[in-house]
Amino acid sequence: MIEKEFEFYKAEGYTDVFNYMKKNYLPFAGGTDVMIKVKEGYLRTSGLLYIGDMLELKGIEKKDNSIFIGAAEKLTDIIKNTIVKENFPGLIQAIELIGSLQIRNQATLGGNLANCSPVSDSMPILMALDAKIHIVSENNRKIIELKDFPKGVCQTALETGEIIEKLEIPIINSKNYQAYRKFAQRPEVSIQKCSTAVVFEYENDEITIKKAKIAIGAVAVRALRCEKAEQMLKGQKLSPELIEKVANMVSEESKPISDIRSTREYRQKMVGEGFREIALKSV
Amino acid sequence: MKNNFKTVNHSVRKIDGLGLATGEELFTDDYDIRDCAVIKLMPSPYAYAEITDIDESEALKMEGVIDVLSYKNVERIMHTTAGQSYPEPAPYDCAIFDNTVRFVGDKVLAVIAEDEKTALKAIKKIKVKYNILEPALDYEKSEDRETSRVHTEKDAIQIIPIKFQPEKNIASEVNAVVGDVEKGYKESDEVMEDTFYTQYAHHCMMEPSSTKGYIDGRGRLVLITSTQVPFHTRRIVSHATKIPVSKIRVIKPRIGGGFGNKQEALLEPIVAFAVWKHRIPIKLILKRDEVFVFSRTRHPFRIKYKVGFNKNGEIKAIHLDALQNTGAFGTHALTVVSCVGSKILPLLNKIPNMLFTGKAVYTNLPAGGAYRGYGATQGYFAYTQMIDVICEKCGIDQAEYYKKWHIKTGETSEIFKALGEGKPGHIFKIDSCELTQCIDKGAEAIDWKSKKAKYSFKNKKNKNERYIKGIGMGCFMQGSSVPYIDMASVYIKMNDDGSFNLNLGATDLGTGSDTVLSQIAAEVLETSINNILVISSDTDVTPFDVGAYASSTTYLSGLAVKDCAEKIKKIIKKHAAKKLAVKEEDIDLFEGNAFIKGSKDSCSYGEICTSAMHIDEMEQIQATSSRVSKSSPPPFSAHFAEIVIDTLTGNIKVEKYVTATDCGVCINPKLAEGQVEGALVNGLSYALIEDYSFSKKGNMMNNGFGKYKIYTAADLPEIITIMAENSYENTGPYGAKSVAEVCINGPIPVIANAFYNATGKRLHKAPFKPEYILEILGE
Ligand SMILES: Cc1cc2nc3c(=O)[nH]c(=O)nc-3n(C[C@H](O)[C@H](O)[C@H](O)COP(=O)(O)OP(=O)(O)OC[C@H]3O[C@@H](n4cnc5c(N)ncnc54)[C@H](O)[C@@H]3O)c2cc1C
Repeated sequence: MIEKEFEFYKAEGYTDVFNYMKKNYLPFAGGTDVMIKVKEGYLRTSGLLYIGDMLELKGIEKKDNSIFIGAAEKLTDIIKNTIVKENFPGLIQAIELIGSLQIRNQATLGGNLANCSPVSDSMPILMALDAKIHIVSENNRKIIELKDFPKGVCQTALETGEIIEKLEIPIINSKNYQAYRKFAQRPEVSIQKCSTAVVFEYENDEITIKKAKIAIGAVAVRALRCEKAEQMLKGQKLSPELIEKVANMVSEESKPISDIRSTREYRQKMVGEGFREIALKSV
Repeated sequence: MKNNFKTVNHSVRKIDGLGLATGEELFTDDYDIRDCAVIKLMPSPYAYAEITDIDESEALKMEGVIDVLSYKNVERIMHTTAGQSYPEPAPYDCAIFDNTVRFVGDKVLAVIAEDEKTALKAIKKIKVKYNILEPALDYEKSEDRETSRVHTEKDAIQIIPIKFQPEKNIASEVNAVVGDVEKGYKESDEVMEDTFYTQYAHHCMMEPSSTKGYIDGRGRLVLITSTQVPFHTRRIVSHATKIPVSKIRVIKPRIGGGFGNKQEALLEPIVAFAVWKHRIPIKLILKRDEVFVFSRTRHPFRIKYKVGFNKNGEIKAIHLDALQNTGAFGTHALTVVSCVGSKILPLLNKIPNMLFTGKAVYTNLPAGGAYRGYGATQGYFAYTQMIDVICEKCGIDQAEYYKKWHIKTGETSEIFKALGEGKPGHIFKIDSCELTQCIDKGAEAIDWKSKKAKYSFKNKKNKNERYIKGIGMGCFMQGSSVPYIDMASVYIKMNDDGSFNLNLGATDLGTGSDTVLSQIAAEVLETSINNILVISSDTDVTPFDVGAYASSTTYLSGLAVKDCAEKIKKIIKKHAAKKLAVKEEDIDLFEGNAFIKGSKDSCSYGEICTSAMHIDEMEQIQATSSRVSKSSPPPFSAHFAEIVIDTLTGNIKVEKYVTATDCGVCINPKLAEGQVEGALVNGLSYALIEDYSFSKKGNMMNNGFGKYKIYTAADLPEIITIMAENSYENTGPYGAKSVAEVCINGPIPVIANAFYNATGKRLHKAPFKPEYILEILGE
């Protein structure tokens, strides 16, 4: 493949971003996805725009019962952050499974979402956490639900001229349980075969499930929420029979294919197993 | 046996270790040659096609494009790329460029350009027309009438009888008979059969296949190349390009791993032809995706056994049948098949009736080649499980079974004679075998007997447990060199200050052989390893050596070094005796000095050499030695693994792995352990995750590290490495035999045996991916 030469510019603020994006520059933060595409020669843009140091895209803060994570925050910094740790242990668990330490030191959450691969490890858990994405463009700002963000393999709801500013994750005030299970060829530096993310929110009795949120990865062109399975759990207490039923439902709701990483049958079975494993651990 | 070695049997540092760490040692691509042009190969998009037309005119018009090489302008000379001794036991079934492409990724043509970018652009401008043929993709069907023949060219030949039958898609065939198996089956209480499959895999050496060439000031071709076989390469290049041997110099710099992959003259003929034609420096370095398909691979195999045995476990007859997928070319086809028999059947040498049938068949898939283990790895999958089955059926402990039946010191095996490399083998006796010791130590380290009983599926109380444990074991052997085929030679000269130049044909691939061989020289010469200056693998400077393969370097090249150093030692004594005015018998050498026995009168090596060169005799103290191996003493290893199976996900986790290995005296214990553990990681990864996945059209889908995963240090179990004590191989240098390959044979069958111990089920197909394990558990 041919390595094309690219113009390169470092954005200092939004004005730069929007100007350069009009000139068909591709924004990038950690570059762990973009640089591979550069090397492999299939980027069609005229230039590269580095947005990884923009203050507007940085910062992790708690406000109005939500936690906001800047799009250009490095995964390692998110893992280390105490408010994220306290509120979203499931997210930390997922992010720690992305690539290797070196990759996590470089990669950003905004990049992981915007890259929007069906095998993204942050997407399922963030969907289960009801995350929202704050999007900015030259003349507009908008907030969309993460579950509406992916449109297909590496295709997002982002329109021309838009970038992700930050992520908003609502804090769960009741007792809750969050977990992420990734199935892969080996534990480190391995893309998932499939994955299951689960968030249980409990009633005041701390065992009845008020709300269950289940998302699965790599079993369709995009990560999915398993709404039927979630419904089955609403207002219930976990029992072995219920876990079994829901696990089967999660499998049923998946639509995987066979490829080099795994088979359709295995993936379908495993997303259910992922749920079972998490559910059993939660009690 | 107590050894008083001074340098040998010590873990001295690798002589190139620091330089490799600091980046000062040079690999092929590090050699800066001004204005070095590059070659890029156009890969075949089809598994099987005839090239009907190539239009390179647009490419040739491009600025910076130097030439396009293809079958149209490169003389067709049939050869094999297999880097083996002449006459090679491999069919001459390839030309530098052919008008037929035989697998996806096969070379169609080569573009030579001033830089890589231009070369890649030029490739896009070349129009190639193909007549697409139906590919042969299933090796079990290769011989069927309906299957396409992969080699229909009339000029493909065998140069020694290896049963090359292209009309049947057979690259090679080999049989060996000891006794009469049919008679043996009749005498048996029970006869059973089974079939096993092993997969493609890649060596994944860090440094990709790389070759650079230029013309030196006297018009000779110099190739700097990442090779395990510099001398074979020189010969093969000369044959394939008609450049006289006298005009070729092959230099092997530092190598970033080979594992068999580089026992092949693959890129060198292309670069040699290009440089010779254009008289400019040119390089060819494969990218990783090319390395996976275009360089050599591990041959997939189907292995069948049929065994007859008695209630007491005694085997009366065994038939081992090996069907090898050699891919598009028959490189190492025969010899890898042979090793399925020759490196396995001697292990339990008291079986009276043995039949080995082996066949290598062509397909339109990547070509196999040499890879650590070399057929034994594939064969042990079947054999070691077979022993396990017999033990389970007869109620005998596996460890005790091996101890009773394994080949012992002083014994031999009929197989040594029956199976050679394209000719009959040679009988030899086992001079050292500490396998019983290895079995005992390994069993103790892992607590074999009690865990085996505890984990056995027969004793499992709770059938619904998610995680179940299992333990398995097996014993393995390999060889050390190929008797009466492998040859190594050495030249040593002494310098004014008492240091020595050690010029070796042998090839260090990162294995540490330069260090190990210096240790042997230093030991003989009673000097420090710092006084041994090694140059290895330069066809102009060093004498011949077959190269690094067949686990031969420490053993055979070590013998040549020892022999040569002993000659030097004699000469030193002669000079010292004259200088000190005593008889040669009265001279002792010690730490770089010659002493009169029982006295303090001495002279230093520096003084001896200085007077020999400048004052007295006026001669260079020097010697050469050349050795052929007369036996192939097997290293032995006993392996034990404890695994945990996740019955819900099918994941197998190896928790603990114990190896106990007899490689004779470890010349360098740390490097020997490194070989054991390296082979183990290599084998675990092969057993559990490595595989080639192909599209229906024969295109490899996972040719990159993003998709083809291998084990890293993070994925390893607890490893216990035991080296046998008191093993001394009298035919080897300072008691040494080989260690590099044997341990890769363990993981597949040992994990499979542990799986049986846990579940009562047998695994027949490697790798043991979770998808496959769930399927088996569900049966
Ligand atoms: C060796 C390796 C292993 C990996 N393993 C994993 C893994 O296990 N799991 C996993 O999920 N991923 C993995 N990845 C993928 C990658 O690391 C993640 O997707 C990463 O989070 C991307 O972040 P980045 O900042 O590097 O993105 P970049 O490469 O900078 O950008 C990625 C994409 O996002 C866009 N983008 C970036 N920031 C914004 C923004 N603020 N607004 C709009 N668009 C934006 C870019 O235009 C680009 O299209 C791996 C990558 C490598 C190289």
